[in-house]
Amino acid sequence: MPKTKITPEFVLQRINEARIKEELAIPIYASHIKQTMFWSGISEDKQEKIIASLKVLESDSMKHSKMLKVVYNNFLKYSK
Amino acid sequence: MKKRKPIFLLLLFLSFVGLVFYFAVRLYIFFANHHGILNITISLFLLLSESHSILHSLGFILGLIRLRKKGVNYHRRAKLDLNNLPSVSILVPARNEPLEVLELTFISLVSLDYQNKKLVFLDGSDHEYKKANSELAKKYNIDYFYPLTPPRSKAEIINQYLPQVTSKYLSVFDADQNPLPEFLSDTVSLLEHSKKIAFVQTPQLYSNLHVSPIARGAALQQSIFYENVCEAKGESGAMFCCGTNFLMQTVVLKKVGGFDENSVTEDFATSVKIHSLGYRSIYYNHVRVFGMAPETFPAYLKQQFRWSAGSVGVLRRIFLDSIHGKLHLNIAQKWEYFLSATYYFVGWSFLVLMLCPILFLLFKIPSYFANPYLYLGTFIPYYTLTLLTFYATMKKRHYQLKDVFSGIIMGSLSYPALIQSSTAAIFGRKSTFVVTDKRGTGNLSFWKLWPWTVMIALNIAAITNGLFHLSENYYAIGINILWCTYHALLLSRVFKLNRRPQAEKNQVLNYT
Repeated sequence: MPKTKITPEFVLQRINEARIKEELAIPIYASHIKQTMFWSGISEDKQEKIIASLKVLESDSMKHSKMLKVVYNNFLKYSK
Repeated sequence: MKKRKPIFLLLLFLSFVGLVFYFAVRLYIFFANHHGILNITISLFLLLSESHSILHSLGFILGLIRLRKKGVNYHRRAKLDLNNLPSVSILVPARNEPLEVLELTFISLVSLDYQNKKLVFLDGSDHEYKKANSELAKKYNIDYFYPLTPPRSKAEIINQYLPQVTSKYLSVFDADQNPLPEFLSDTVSLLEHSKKIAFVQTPQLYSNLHVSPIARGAALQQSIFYENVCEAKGESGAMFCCGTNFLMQTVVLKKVGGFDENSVTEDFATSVKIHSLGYRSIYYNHVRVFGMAPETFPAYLKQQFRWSAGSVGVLRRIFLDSIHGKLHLNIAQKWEYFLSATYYFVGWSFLVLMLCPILFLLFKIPSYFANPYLYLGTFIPYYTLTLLTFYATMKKRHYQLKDVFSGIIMGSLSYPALIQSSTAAIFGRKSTFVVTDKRGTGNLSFWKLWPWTVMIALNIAAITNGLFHLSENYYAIGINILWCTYHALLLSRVFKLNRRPQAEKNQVLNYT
């Protein structure tokens, strides 16, 4: 993989990808995991704890997504 | 896979012995039959059907025996240099898929934690979908490819794009498959270990289980295949490509001329060519991708039809290539491909096993019956031990008994589709490629359920007639009444499975 020149566009793209992951991908993974957890063999009370943790993760991801939006906008503003 | 406990090995051994013993007794019963041409013919069909079940039970047991020595994570990996990662092209071929399904996949692909990747959407959709699809791809910075000529198959559109692939590896995901972030970092390190490994296949795990009993049953069937059967194939170096959720060396795919466009299971057919060149494949039994099961009975049947047509079609070509000396597979690979390709004759096998007790109860054909002690003394141990083995392997992976039966029932009920497709394929007639409709095409009308309703009616008629004549031969008639009852109950599940699934809310994602 050739060394990539760090340009503002490169940084913005990476921030965007991080936002996609936080805002959109995490809920997708969480949904899949919740749907298939009954096959894990984990006891029901532990499953409930995991689901609760996933909800916390989803909530945190939304906050991260908002922070990344601020970072994106600030970077865009100050890189001009 | 952890090492097996001694009691499980004992169960495997007893199942093997029970199976061999029962088969020997069945052969004896057949060759001892001198009751006329009609009896012999029906007995032959029954023997062939039971042989099919015995063969695949044997394949399953031998696979488990081979796996007993393997520990967890026995695949060797190369260490990846994060500053010099091998390039990977990720292809998503799709045709007329709902936007919301595509969008979930695009989000998952963008979120892969592997940097040196190129994402390409191969759009084989009709023209009216083109604008929306291209805009969606652009939204996620995914390259968009729309062929000049409409592709007739997934293989064709991939092959049309293949000359443009310059990356070291390529990966294909179906439109409804959502990979986890570590998919590429896990699989690339496996392929980097040796150039002799052509591709690594990972399992499909359906997560839309709660939508319908069809989705749940289909998920169970897939689990049986991916949890146990594929591990055994991988251990033999005969794991075939499943068309999605895999990583392959680009140079190998180009060496075999791309995916085989003459088969509706292009992945299976191409795998034979790749293995014939001396390459190996790996099955990486860790879920790294979530997908969607067919949610309706028609969609499930279409899927089974395609897989059956493709696999049996490849069997025909494997046979012809073997005769002409074009096939260069080792014994283990030939055995595994033979098992995979012949599996779909299970439709015929099930039909014959259903018809035989009906013929006996209605028409007294065959007119003889094996010694009850000999038959039951070998059949019950064989059947019980095989079922116990099967259940024990699934229980180790946390599946319940009802789940196991759910998968078995689903497989049995697809018999009309399997009969139609396998018959066409064995005579070299091409079946049309049909996209599996994950969003549901509703249900089959009552009249279209005739393969099941007619068999249910015949079973009921046979049971009724049998009850009237039970006193003539309690044992022979009683056994066959039990079989007819079992088949009727199994077939009656079709009415529940044919119901429309609950409507889903469409998830429209607005990302700005």
